[in-house]
Amino acid sequence: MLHCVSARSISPRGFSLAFLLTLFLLSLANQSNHNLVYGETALTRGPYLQLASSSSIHIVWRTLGKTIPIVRYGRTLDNLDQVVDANLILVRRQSSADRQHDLVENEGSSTAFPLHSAPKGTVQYEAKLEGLEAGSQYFYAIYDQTQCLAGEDNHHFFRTSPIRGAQSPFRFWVVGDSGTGDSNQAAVYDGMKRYVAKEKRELDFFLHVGDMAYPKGTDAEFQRNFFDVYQPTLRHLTCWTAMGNHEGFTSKGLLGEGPYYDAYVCPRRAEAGGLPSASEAYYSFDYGNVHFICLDSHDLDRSPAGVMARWLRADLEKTNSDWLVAFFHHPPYTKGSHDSDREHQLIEMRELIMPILESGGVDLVLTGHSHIYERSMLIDGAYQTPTTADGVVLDDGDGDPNGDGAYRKSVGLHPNQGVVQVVAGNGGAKVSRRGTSPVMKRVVVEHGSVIVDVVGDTLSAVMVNRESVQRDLFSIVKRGTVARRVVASPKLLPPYQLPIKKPVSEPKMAQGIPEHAEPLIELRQQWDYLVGKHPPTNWTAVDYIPESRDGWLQGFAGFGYGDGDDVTELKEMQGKHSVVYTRNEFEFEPGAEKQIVDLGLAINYDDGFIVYLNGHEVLRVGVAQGNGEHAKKIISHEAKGFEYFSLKHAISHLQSDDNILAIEGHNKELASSDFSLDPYLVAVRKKSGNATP
Amino acid sequence: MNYFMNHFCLWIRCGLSLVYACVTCLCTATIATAHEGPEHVIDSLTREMRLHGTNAELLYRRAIEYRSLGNRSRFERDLDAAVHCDADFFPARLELAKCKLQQHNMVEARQLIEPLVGANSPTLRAVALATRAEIDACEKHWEHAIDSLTVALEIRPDVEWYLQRAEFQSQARKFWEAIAGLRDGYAKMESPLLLRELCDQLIAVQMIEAKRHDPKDFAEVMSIVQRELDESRIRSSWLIRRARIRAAQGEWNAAQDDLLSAIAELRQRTSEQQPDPEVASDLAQAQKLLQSLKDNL
Repeated sequence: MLHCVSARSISPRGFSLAFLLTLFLLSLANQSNHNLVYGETALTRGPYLQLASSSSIHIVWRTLGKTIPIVRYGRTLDNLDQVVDANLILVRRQSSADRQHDLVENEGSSTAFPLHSAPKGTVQYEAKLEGLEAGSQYFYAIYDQTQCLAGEDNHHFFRTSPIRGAQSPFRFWVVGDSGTGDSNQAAVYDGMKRYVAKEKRELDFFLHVGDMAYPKGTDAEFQRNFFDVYQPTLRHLTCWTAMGNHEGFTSKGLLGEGPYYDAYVCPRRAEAGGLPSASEAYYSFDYGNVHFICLDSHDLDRSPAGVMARWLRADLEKTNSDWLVAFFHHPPYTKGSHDSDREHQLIEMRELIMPILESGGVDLVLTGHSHIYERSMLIDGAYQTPTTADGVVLDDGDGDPNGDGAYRKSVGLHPNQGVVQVVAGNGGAKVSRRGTSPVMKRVVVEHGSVIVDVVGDTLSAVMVNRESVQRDLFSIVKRGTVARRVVASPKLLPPYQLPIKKPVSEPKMAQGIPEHAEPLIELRQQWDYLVGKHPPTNWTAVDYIPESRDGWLQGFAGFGYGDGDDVTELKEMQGKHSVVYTRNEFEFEPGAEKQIVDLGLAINYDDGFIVYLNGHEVLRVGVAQGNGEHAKKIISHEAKGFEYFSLKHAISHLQSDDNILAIEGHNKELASSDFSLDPYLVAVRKKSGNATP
Repeated sequence: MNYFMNHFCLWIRCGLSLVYACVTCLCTATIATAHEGPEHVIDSLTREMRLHGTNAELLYRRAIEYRSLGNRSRFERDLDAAVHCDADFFPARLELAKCKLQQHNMVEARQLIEPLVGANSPTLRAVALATRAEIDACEKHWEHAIDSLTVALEIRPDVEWYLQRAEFQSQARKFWEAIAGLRDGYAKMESPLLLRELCDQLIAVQMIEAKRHDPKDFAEVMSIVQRELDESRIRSSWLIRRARIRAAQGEWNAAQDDLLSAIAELRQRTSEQQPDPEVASDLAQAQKLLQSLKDNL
C-alpha cells in the first residue's frame, strides 16, 4: 500500500498528531531552505511539468539525497494505474570531477549530463510519460519507492496538448523579466491568478520570455526566484522558456549547459512538433492550431547564415498551422529600460531575424528584456535603424475589438501580412521608460503580464497589471482574404518626454562625503512619492507596494516648491499639505550588503525629514516628535545645499536583494513659501585590494 | 556547391559564434547591474574598477557591454586589456581571437587560440579546436581544419561543426567523405540543416563526378527532395533542388516548371523593405538556373 503525506490521508482521530507532525515538517522545511521533507527524503524542487505534447509529458523533480524514483499517473485521482519505473527515469546529479562535461552514470537506461551547480547531494529526476491521450487530463504522483513525495491530490495533474491542428480554444500566460523574487513578482503572479479566476477560464500553459532568475541565473536563484514562486502553477501547467541575458551569466546556449538547461527540458528532436533543432536553446512546438517558435536572442549567432536562422527557415517552411507565434528575450522594438535602436542584440533581432519570421508569416512576437509593457500596431517590414513607422504600418488602429476594431489578416499563414510585437518585460523587475518606439500603440509603465486566448480564427491578448486590472487588449482575426495595405500616415503615439528637468538653481554639493563613496541611489533618480494623503503605517517596509490607486506618483528628485531648486515641483502642496512621503529601491546581490562599511545620506532639505531603511527609522532631522501626520515641532531649516548625514549605524538593516529607503519630508507650516527634499544615498564598500586602473 | 562557396564568409561568421557563445556565458557578475541598459552597466563597471581595482573579468564584461552598443574600438581595447591582465582568462582570449580573425590577423588569432587547444575542459578544448579550424580554413589549410573539427566532433556533436567540416571537405574535394560525415551527423542529430546539406552535396557530387546522369544516381536524393516537397508549406528551396536534379537528367521542361513555381513563391516572400538574404539568394539562384535552362532549350 502506498502512503502519501497529504491532507486526505490524515484521519480525524489523528488530527492532533498530524497537526504536530505538520508543524514539525514545516519547521524542518524552513530550516532546509523551504525543502519539503517526507520521511527521510527532502523534495527540493517540483514536481513540475515540461515538454508536453499531445501524447507525452515530462515530470521533473529534485530530492536531496538518492531515492528510487517512481511516477504513477492515471485519468482519475483514485486510480493512478500507470507507472514509470525507476529504470525509465533520467537521473542527474553533480559529478565530482569536471562536473560540466562528464557524463554521470544513470540508474536508468541511459547516461545523462550532470547538473551544473545544484546544491551538494541534489538529485534531479526527469520522467517521460508516453502513450497519453491527446487533450486529456491526468493526475500524477511521485514516489521514493513506495513513499509518496508529492501528488495523490487534486493539485498535481496535467492536461496533454490537443491534437495538432485542433481548433479547440486555449489560453496561455506570458511573463518576462520576473525573476526578482520580490513583492513585485509576487503581485504580478497574483494579479494574473485573480484575473483568471475572475474570468473562470483556466490557463493551458505558460511562456516565460527570459530573465527568470536575477541577477546571475544561478541554481539558487532559479530555486528562489522561479520555482519557489511559481510552483503552485508549475505542478499542473507546462512552462516553455526562452533564455534571458541574466541566465546567460551562468548558462551557455551553444553548449546547452548551466542552471537554465538543468531547470528546463526543451525539445531537441521535435518531440512536440516542428523540426528538430538539436539544441534546447531554440526550438518549436505545436499547440492545437498554433505553431510556437522559441529563439535564443542572447548568446547564439543571429546572422542570416547562422545555424539558428537556417533552422528557423526550415521550421517555417514545414509548419502549416493556422497561427504562428515567436518568442525570445530581446525585443526588436522597445524604448523601455532598453533601446532597440542602440543595442546590438535588439538591432540584430530586428534587422536579421524579423525578415525571416515575417516572410514566414509570423502573427505575434513576444519578448521581454525591456522592463515595460509595449505593444505595437499591425506592422510589417520595420527593419530600419532607427525604427521608423513610415511605410511599415498595415493597421494603425488599437486592435481593440471595442475600440478601433481587431487587426485583420487572411486565413492561414502568409508572408508579410503583419505582426503584432509585445514586450512583456514588466513581470517583476523595476519598470522604466526612456521613449516611444514609433511602431508602438500601447506603452504601459506598470508591472504586469500578458494572457493570450486563441479561439479559432481569433487571437486576443490582454495585459493585466499587478492589481489584476486589464490595461491593454488587442485581437487579431484571420478570416477570408485580406489585402496587404500600408497606411500612408499612421496615427502615432506622441513622443515621450523624460519628465526630468534641471532645477533653476543647482544646490551646492555636500561636504564630508567619505572618500570612495559610490551611490546606491543616485542624485536626481526617480522616486515614488505621495503628497496630499497619508500612507498606512507599513509604508516604509520592503513588501509595501506604492500603488497609483492610493495616490502614489513617480517623479525625479528633488521634490518641493518655491525656491527654484526642485525637479519635481509640488505646487499643490503649498497651503494644503505639510508632509511628502518618498520611497526608493536599491538592491544588492546576495551577500553584497556585507561588503558595505559606510553608509550615508546626502540631502538638500527644507525644513525637516525622517529616514527609514527597510522599515527601521534610522535618522530624524528637524522633526522633534511623531511621524507622518502626527509629526510635531518641526524646526525651520532653509535648503542651502546638500548636507551629509552618516547612516553607518544603520548598515545592519541592509539586506540582500531589495532594500527600501523611505523619507518623509516635513514643512514647518502649511503656508510656508518653500519646501525642499532632494536626497541621494551613498555607500563605501570594503576595498578589494586590487590595483586601481 | 557554388551556393556554399559563395557563402563561405558567412560560414566563418557562423563559426565565430561558438566563441561568442562561450565567452558571453562564462563570465560572472560581481556587482548589482541587473536592471538597467548597457550604458548603466558600463558606468557601474567603470566605477567598480575605479574604486576597487580592475581585473580581467570586469574588463571583459565591460567589453561585452561596449559591443552591445556597437562601440567596436572600446570593445577590442577592453578585451586586449583583459588578456594582458590575465592571460588565462579564456573568455576574453577567445573573444579577442575572434576579433583578430575578423580582421584577418591570423598570426595573433592563432597565438591567442593555440594555448586553449590543450585546455583540461573537453568542451573548451572542442570550442578552441573549432576556432582553430576556422583559422586554418581562412588560410586554406583544409586538412588541418578538417582534422581539428573531427576531433571537436568526437568530443561533442554539433550541427554547425558538421556543416563546417563538410564544407572544408568539399573545398579539399573530399566529396564522399563530406557526404559520409553528414550522414553520420544526421543520424545522430536529426537536424534538417544536415539533411539539406546532405542533399546539396549528393546533387553536387553527381553533377561533378558522374559521367552520365543516370536517374539511379539521383534516386536517394530525389526521394528525400520529393518527401520534403510533399511535407512543406514553403517549397521554393526544395523546388530549386528538384530542378537541379531534373536538369541534370535532361528533364528541361519539368525543371523549368519547378523553377517558375519557386520564383513565384520567392517573389511573394520578398519583402519590399528588406528581404531575408536567403530568399534573395534563392531567387537569384533560381533565375540564374532558369536562364541557363532557357539557353539550353
